Amino acid sequence: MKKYILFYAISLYFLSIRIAFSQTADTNRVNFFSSVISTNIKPQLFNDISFGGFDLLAANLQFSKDNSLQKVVFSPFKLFNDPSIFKDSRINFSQKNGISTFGIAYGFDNTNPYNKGKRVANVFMRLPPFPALTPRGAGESEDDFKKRQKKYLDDLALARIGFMQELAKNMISFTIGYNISLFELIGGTPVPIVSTGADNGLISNQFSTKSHNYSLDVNYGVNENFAINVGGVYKRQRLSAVEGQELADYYGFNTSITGRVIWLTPKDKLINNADYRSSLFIPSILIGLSLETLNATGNPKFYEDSISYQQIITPFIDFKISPKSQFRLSVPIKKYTKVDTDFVSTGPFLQYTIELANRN
Amino acid sequence: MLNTSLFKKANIEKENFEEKVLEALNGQQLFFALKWTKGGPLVLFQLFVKINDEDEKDALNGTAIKDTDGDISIFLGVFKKGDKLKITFGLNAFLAIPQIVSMIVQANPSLILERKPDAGFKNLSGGETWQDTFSITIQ
Repeated sequence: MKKYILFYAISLYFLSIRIAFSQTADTNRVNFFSSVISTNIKPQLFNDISFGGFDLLAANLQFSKDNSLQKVVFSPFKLFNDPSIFKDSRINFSQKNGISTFGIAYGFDNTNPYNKGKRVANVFMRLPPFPALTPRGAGESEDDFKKRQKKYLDDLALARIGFMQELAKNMISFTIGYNISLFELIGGTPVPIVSTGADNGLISNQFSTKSHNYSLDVNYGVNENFAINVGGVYKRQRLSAVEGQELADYYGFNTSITGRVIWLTPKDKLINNADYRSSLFIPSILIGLSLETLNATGNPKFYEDSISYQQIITPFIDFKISPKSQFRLSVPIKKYTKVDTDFVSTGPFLQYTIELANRN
Repeated sequence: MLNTSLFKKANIEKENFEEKVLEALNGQQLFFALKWTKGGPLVLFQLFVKINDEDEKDALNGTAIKDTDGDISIFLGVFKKGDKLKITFGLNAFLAIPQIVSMIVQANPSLILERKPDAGFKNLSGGETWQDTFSITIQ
């Protein structure tokens, strides 16, 4: 019965995704976007359950020897017009090493003018008053008026960039989320294991749920060039779908800092860049560092890979060429403790991030 | 500057003052109105009104209006039948605005004389400027 309920829940989930995607033709209605905070804020241990970023829709592909990921994070309520406390809620869909994960998070983003927050309105209303465009004066030719109007609109565009830069200061978003991870087989006929070992006769596909994951994340953008993130994770996870497996408790912590170091378009020319003018996107290279830890408790027999504690420090370089072309190079340095032994390892991997729809 | 006084013709020094006040209240009062998705930051920087053969006047009195409330209405004056009006407006969406409509509306009797777009709503991207003109003859 539980499996049928799960099946219908997943079907409904996919239905909601289809409904949501059918509305993405009109992506102009996305609010302010800044490129400094990305969906990659938890690059290794929690990348499958992360809801990070400010975007309407972001896809994320990550390749490495033993940690490949395909991921989409979507904020469906950004497509609706009415201000709502759910405006910044997000849906996560990811697949990592054969494990499918689905999640939903309640969120808040203080750069969104259409949620219940007042910050955008306050920043906007604090702007100094603008003079109105005045009618053609006596003796002013049609051409002179057009020139005056063009200059007026250019000045207004500059004022708008100033407004967005102000909005980019002290950006805060948070998400409280839940993800469920499922084994590859989520139903069907129970299949007993045939072996000479102790597992002989146990049902190999007894469980469909790999883990329940609860997370809290706070992103803080100091300005358009520097951001930090802090988060916590609690998960209950089983090693395999085999009968008799129990859920072990895991407590995780993650933090990261990101800063822009190289501007691919000179700062004084940014004003002429269409992406910057529309959404404050800066073609640039950012560097950052993330720390993720995961501590297992309970019966060590059910720990994933017998690991009781993991700590991963990941230096990374983000290449942000355009809103639709971004990728990351990173070198995770892993330190982990198996029940009795410590290990340190490293392995570079590449993340390619496709920001599908984040227009301003 | 546009004279948007409702009781322009009511002279307090004359005996028919109250009669003229009532006459003004019964006249066709016109407003320029904007409605948009509440929360969207918008600057209304241009509102020119040309009445018959007069020069264009600035109905914003020199200062653009910035607002996020989703609602601006500006009194244009009291007009009589046969008056020809040309109303040109310009606005800029500082962030994307999902839905917006501009209207010339009338009180006494209450009417939407004209709206832009003619049906539905306009969608503005962040930074997009929208300029358009209403041409109306008072019936």
